[in-house]
Amino acid sequence: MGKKDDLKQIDAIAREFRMSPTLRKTFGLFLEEEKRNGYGGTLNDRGDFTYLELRQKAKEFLEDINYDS
Amino acid sequence: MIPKTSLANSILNLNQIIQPIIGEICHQIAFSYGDELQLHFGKMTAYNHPKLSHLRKGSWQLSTRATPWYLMLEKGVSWSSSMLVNNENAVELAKIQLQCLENTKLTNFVILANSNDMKLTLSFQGDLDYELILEPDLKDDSGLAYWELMMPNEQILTVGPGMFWECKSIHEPY
Repeated sequence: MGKKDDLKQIDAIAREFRMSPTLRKTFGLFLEEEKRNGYGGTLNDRGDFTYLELRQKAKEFLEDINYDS
Repeated sequence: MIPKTSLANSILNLNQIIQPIIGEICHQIAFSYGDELQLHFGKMTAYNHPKLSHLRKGSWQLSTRATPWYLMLEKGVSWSSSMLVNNENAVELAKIQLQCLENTKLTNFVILANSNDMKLTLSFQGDLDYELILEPDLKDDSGLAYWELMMPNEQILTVGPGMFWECKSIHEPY
């Protein structure tokens, strides 16, 4: 039931930002949490993200890790 | 880059890699972005990310990518991911159905592969016996793996696309 296009986009973003498999998986969860907390994207009513929004979210995701460490 | 291994002559090696997960408890069913089903087994720890520190992950994590799955109870199909296609509340409904797997023991993890078929069957023992079956579409040309297993030894096993698999460090960039 996984959505192929969404998963392919996440994989592409993970490659672009040189994420490890662990980070890629955590990023997927991070996106769901962002949606749940009202910071979803504009792609559809479910709050999914456009590719540009995903890139922005990837930056925020990685910055949060760097601030934390 | 490590070349992928063909399943045809390495099924024994693959079974050896996955053997240690048998006997672990499935603590958590989750869905990630893109409605990807994930199962968490083994020791549970908090995520390191500051925005996710309230959530936990297993030392073993099985991700099903976009592979169709179905849940079997006794001899009949109880629930299938295909029932959820185009359903607005697909994830919520699937979570309810799959909740029965939480806190059950994984009793088997079997990969069946031949020239035109590949199937992963996970057997669970709780109050009842369940099977979760992943049935990849070998004709799918999306390029996505069929499933991935993150392991406590900091390796990730990736199976598919096609009849191939690889095992590499979780620290290696994607």
